[in-house]
Amino acid sequence: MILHILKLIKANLYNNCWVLAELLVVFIVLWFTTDYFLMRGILASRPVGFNVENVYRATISVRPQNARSFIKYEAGSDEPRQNVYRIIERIKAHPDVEAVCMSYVALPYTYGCWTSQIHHDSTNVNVRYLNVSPDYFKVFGIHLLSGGSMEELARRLPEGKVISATTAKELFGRTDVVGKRYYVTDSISYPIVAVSEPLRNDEYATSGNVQVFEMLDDRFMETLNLKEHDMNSLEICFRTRAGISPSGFAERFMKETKRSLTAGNYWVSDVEPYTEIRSSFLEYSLGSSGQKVLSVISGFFLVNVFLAVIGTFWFRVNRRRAELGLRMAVGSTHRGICHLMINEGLLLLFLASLPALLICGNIAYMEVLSVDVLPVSVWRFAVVSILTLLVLALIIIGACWYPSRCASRMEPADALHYE
Amino acid sequence: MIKLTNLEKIYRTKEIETVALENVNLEVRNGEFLSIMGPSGCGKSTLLNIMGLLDAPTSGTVEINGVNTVNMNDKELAAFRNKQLGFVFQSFHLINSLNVLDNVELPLLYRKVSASERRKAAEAVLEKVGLSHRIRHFPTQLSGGQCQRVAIARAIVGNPDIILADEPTGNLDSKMGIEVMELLHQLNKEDGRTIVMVTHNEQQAQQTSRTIRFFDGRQVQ
Amino acid sequence: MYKLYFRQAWQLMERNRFFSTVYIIGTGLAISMVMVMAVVYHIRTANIAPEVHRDRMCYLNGLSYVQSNMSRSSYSYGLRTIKECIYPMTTPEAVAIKVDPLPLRYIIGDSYARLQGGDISPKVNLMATDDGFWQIFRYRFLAGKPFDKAAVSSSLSRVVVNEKTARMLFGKTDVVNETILLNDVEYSVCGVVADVSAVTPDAYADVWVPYSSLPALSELSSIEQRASIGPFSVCILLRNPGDMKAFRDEWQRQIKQYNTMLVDGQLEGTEPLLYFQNMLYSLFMQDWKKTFFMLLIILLLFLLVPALNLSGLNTFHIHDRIPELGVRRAFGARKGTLLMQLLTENLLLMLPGGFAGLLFSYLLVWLLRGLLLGSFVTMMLSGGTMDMSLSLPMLINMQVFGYAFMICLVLNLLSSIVPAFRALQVSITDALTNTAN
Repeated sequence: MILHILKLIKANLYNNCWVLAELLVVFIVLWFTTDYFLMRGILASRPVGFNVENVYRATISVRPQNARSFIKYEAGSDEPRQNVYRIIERIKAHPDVEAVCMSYVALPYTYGCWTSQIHHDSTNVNVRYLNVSPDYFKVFGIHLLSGGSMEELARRLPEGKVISATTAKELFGRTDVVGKRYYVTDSISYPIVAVSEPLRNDEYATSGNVQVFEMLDDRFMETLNLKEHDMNSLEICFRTRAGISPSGFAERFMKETKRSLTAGNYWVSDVEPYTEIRSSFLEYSLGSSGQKVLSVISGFFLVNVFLAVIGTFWFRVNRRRAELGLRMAVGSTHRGICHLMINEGLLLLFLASLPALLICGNIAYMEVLSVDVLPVSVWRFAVVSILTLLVLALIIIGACWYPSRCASRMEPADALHYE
Repeated sequence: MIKLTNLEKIYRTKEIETVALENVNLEVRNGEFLSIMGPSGCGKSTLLNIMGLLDAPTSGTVEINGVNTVNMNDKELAAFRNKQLGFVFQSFHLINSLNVLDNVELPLLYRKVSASERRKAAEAVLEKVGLSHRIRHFPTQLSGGQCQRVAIARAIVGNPDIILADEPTGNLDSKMGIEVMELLHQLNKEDGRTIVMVTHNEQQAQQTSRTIRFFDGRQVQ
Repeated sequence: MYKLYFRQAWQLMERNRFFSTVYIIGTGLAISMVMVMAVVYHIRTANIAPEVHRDRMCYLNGLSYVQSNMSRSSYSYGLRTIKECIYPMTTPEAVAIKVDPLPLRYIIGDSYARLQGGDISPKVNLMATDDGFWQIFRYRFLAGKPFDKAAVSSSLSRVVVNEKTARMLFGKTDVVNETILLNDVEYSVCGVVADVSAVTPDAYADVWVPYSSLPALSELSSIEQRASIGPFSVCILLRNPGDMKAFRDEWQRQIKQYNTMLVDGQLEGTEPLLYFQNMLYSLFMQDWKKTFFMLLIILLLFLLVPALNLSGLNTFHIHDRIPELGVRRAFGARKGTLLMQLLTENLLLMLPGGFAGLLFSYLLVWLLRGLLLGSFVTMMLSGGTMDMSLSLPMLINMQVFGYAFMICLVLNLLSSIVPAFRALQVSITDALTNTAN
């Protein structure tokens, strides 16, 4: 039967060559988008580590110097910093709030990033420094790798550095490294007091997921030399108690605390659910733009294939009425005609996919594919190829259906007469 | 009028060579009504196509109105066909997506003739073939005889000297066939047009001024 | 003659509904994809209010202060440089300086507007500018007028607000001379403008104030470096686009002259860029060649795949008409004439698809406007809170229609020339007997 269909395709080669060429191009394009989406899917299904449900971020604003209510402190006064602490204490005092933390360039779902190089023996690793107050682990629900509680992490932070599991693996090749030290320079080193679960900035982050947590305390702020006007870059986040409904909480919280969350020249100008920060980050990230663009492109090519196949086969049915009539006359059933056409379509796809796969394979071999998520392997190649084939096969079966139904509805006598 | 010298036509495919015409010498005189007869596949249609410059001979010359046409390019051939020749085919070859008037206007479309003149000329010839009342119809709405009369109108609208008819009555019943033949005779006698017709019909052939017979690519009579 | 083509094309379309539907959808799709790119190109580069002078605008961004020890500080223009170098220039028709809402946020933090004793204090996008700004950018004033030179030079607290902010605070737009508090500082409203879309990124803001009213911007530091480089970007309106070279020369002379007055370091500026170049730079900041290459491939694929598709359909369609072509040639039509006829007919068949495609591309542009028309940096930093509304004149204009027609033409050539050419290669006798295959 296959041989028979191949003969048919050969007989119509000129007419088929357009469809074949199109299938070839689309197969290649689709192969790459399939690979992309598959990798994105795998990436998104991996844990992020940060739990942002029921977490809110409070933004601190500063009054300008020419405002009437501006309070002028003496140079070097500790008051501005105390004012930030006052605001944190007041948030903590709210009955619905479970934990509040302060951090500096240390939030997930942001582009802000403070990196530095650390080493151990001859291994150098670029890490992201997260400067946080101990309750950060409680707010973002970060656990010890060994399964210990968030409280334990918070307790250990003041004693030294907490590193994430990924950091431990990159630096030492294993994760039971509590008590070891890592080096910043040959003479400066820090003790590792805990290893947290692996963390990622967001669902689609593939790099920069190597973290070191550092205590954000008075000493640190002094080294940073933050002025009153710079201190609004300190990030304040808090988690609500279990059972507090997140819907409308931010507005309610703002209304309830309107007057109290002001200290010195600072006031809390905005409280935003972290889930919103996450969704807006994901929506406007480069990856999601790429995803949108690729979805549109794939959709466009798929519709094109559909049109090409439906158009070609419909013309062919009309052209080959006599042939189809004869087939029915010599004993083919209506269903048989249907199958003949669908098989012909699928065989065309198969023919186009051979050179296409060769090209895709070559490109994969040339290391063009991203290996951020998975290495290029025969397994990956096979899965992506099969998925691509399946999608195209579905489209082709769909497109063959209408013309083949037209064909199978013909009466043999009519069909023969047509010629 | 038409002068064919040492005409030869050979169809070649990879495997076989078929000789369609062999050493044909023929002269068609001005105002003549020539009929060509012969069995199927004897080369008479090929001959007509070569006379009509639709096909090129393998060797030999075709001279029409004293002009040698062998080395003409597509442009010159098109212009020549347009001005000097009119065709009538067995299966009419009307364009189904155009109405009768547009079909008849077709040859004038490829000359520099204004739309109104085209229309006037087409209406005049349609009147002549007796189809003035059908000008807005489409070919599919006409009978075979009417179709062939439209085709004849199309053949003469450009006022060519020569009309080439390939079995013009082949697809018609005898009554319609007679009508069409009468029309052709009228064009020959009244307008003085030269007509070359391929036919199977002995009776029709006898009515013409001269009949030649073909067999296996050769003129036998 | 073309009327006849049209009539016949229509006839064919009517008789072959299925083919026509598939064909129209196919062309529509093809054209919509390319049109999305064309519309985006148009919106990004054409003169669109309030950026009505994009064709003869250029930007001065990026200025470095290099000290003798080779330490280099890179920022944009500082007040002293602007006052001594830029304002005195003679080539430009107008000069404006501004600090966009985004960089301003890094300097003074988020900005909030409220009324004295008012309940709500919405966060606003604040832009700091000078009086020249209102000459280069043409806003539609609903009430009042822009702040003038006097207001800027004497640091008056004047503010222009957009309609949205005015309605939010006052519930109306005729609020000239009313007072609002911007970050607790009193400002008097001098004008209300219609909202602008972030599609015109250089004009987009909610509230505009004289830069001199913000202490963080107007303090002229005594430190040479701090006064020379700063947060300001400079917009230049040239008398005509051809003045670019003259302007560049004058700019170089001015910087050189200014450098002779500096003690501790020297200024090195980024070459001025015309609007279009500036936009390209800000879009493809990294690796723009690669991006450009990718765009080109996408454009080609967008046209090639549908062209293959339509070629297949055309092959069948034209094949069915081989006998007709034979008849036409028998009656004296030249191949060239017939080729033109087939292409014209095909183009006619393509136009409804092209029109549908154009509409569809509008829909796509609207749906993906954040992605297509926003700049990535602004989107990512403002978290997508910008107003990205599109107005009809941005979409519906002769230039866009022109692009659409051009694309139809190209697609038509790509998709029908091979089948048409092949059909005309069939000899007349074969065509008439229809033995061609």
